[in-house]
Amino acid sequence: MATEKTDVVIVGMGAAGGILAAELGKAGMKVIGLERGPRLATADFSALDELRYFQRQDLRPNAKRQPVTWRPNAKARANPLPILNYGNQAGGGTVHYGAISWRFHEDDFRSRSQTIERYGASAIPKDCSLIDWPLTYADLEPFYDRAEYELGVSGRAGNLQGRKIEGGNPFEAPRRREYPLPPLMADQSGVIFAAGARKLGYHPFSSPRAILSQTYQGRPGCTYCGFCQAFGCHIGAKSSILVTKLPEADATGNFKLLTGTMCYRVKSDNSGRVTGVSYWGSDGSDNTIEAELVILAPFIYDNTRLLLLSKTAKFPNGLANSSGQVGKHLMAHIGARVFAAFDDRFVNIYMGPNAQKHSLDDCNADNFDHSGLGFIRGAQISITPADLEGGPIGAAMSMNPPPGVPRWGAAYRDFLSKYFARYAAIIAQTDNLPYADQTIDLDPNVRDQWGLPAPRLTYDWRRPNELARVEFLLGKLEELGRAMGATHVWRSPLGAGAPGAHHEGGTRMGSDPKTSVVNRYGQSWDIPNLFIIGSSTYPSMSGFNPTLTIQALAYMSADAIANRYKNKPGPLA
Amino acid sequence: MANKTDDERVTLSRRELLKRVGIVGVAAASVPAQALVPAAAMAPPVETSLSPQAVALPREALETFTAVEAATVEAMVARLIPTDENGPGAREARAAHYIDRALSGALASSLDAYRSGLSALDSYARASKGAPFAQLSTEEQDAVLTDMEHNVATGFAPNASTFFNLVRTHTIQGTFSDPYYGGNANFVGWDLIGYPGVRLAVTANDQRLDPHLIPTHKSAYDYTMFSKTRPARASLEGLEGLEGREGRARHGD
Repeated sequence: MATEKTDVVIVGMGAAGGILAAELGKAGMKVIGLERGPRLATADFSALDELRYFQRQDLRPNAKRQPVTWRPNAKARANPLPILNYGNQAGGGTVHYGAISWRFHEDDFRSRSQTIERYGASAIPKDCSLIDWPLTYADLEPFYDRAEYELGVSGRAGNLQGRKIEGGNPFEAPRRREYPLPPLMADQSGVIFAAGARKLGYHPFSSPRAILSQTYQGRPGCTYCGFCQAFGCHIGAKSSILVTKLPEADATGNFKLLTGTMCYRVKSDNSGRVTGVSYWGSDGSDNTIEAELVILAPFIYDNTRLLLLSKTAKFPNGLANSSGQVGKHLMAHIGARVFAAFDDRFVNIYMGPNAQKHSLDDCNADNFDHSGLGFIRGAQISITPADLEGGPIGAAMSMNPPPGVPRWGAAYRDFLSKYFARYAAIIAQTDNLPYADQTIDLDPNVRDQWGLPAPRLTYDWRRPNELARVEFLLGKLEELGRAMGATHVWRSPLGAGAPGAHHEGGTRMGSDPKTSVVNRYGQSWDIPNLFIIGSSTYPSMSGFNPTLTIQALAYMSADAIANRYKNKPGPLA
Repeated sequence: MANKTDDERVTLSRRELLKRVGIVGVAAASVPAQALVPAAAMAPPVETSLSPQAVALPREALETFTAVEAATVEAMVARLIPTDENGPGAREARAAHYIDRALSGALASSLDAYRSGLSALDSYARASKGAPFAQLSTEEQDAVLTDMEHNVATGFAPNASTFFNLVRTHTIQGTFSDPYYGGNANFVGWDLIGYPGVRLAVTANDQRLDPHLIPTHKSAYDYTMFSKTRPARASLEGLEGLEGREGRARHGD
């Protein structure tokens, strides 16, 4: 058993943790990072092996050793989820993600107020726990800018300081300057998507991605091999935290990374402060780190789990939980999807960066009038391979054949052989409003490889607002497929109510300590030397992917800690 | 075939075999012949429209299955992605070999499901059609598989459709995965669907000109930069939870 002392301990070295490690190390703070997975290098990634990385999930948590259970409601029995869609190594999910890098819309930060102003309070479902964020887009814009430039994001501005730019997303919030890198090349799927979308009056554009379109900061530009989502980039063109911020953290001389370590408790004393963490080493040893500042930055489940596991006589409901809000308001993206197949042309969608290649934002957020539609908020609509990954196994497994074509046999083989190179999927990635009864807690029946209770999700997205929105969007996707000139357009069946990608919530931020867990900086209302940074703090979702916003929040918190908290520890808001 | 004697069954099976040879020579070449007829009695492939390299694939040594199990799996994958005058299927891709090998490695946790599932399959085939699955006609095999898919076939644990989906998933993997894993032999799966294969770079021209790309016919591990990162065959485990996820959780990021 070892005991170490440090200024800052950070649990989880992913999208948020890596940024905090680098920035706090630069500010002269001694940082120890705990990471339960290994630290791999670019040379460790053999991209191009779909079976290994996509089917066998080589870069994701082992769902058997590290189970997360799900039940649709509090009366049902929870069963382990088959796929865990987050990272399991230094760099976290940014190692294997599709690298889609959005700034949220201005109204994503205030969707409660926006909805009430435009449609009245009755437009918000009665059981919905929607609150505004405790910060505005303008507050976060400088940190979005830093994230884009320090990490390396490719795209085209659609709104430069209020001036609309042709070819970018006209619905984006104003940005201070152009992206650091031009957009990635559009493949055939992007070309036909854009043409079809324009016919319908939409505004398509190349999705912004944390993938280098050309050499940047000593890393090479993308070679369009087509293996991004679920893969580590074998040339380091993906701007993962592994190849961007972790080397910066190393260079500060103030950073130590402990891999293969599992944090199981945040320690606190009777004064109401946290004093450090306990963790198991890769050799099974039981260790302690004493720290002035504890930052939790794992994937969202482990924030709730750690806070609940760390209860004491002083904090009987878990740490940072005087509000009773820990574990509540779990949200995830819902995927509405259609397939479009062409008898008269190839699409070859397996080429190029493969997740959500080309997009339109016309049906997202409050970018369109929802009057009379029976739902609020919207979706990012994109062209993409069947399962955001371009290989043939993914297409076969994730593309349901059109009506009348069986799932096996000669007709199925003929379907695959004719359409694999001639299909595209069109997806609407749509948000889930927050509901207090969508929760994370500790599973009383299932334990993980360390003997800790598994995180248990209680969640079912199939509520009236979400179902109405998904049906509306499926109709839009079918129109798009036809406008693209597809010979065949058909829907993918909607799944059971299980959470999809991009889980958010559980330790939400807010303006009121009675209804939220942390303030705008991720600082616990109850315990000022405890921070929680990541998408678990989101009070509401966007139709957009969450990662760039996680990163911007990490920059903002690092800035507040380095420039304010370090000199005068105490509440920042 | 329900009331035939063993000898008649062998004869009929062989006739069935020869019939298939007439249509697609390769199907006979890779069928587990010793389970049905002495190897010496095998007819050579005749009149095939398939490419020469797809024919005359030797049958690999078994790593996990018994000969009887292998025969059943061979027959099953050959119906899931069949071979006919329109092209090759899972048999030529050696999907059964992929499964046989993986069950001693990355898919070891599915081995019990195969052992009990294949046994249940033969029991159900005998009860409903009068012979083990591998010895049924293709029409009878399809009827049995349809019963499994629709979960009306009995005797499976936990149920027939779970086993059906497991084998379907592994058949797809064995037909379309990197040949490194023992399936997709001679890139037959990738050629079948027009996937030109893995490549380190795709040019602007490739992406712009609506091309039908020339296949690379290379495994990822044929590229020297990846030769050091070959996966350990048994390095992964506990993956059966990933099966049958159509329409369920997405991978999306």
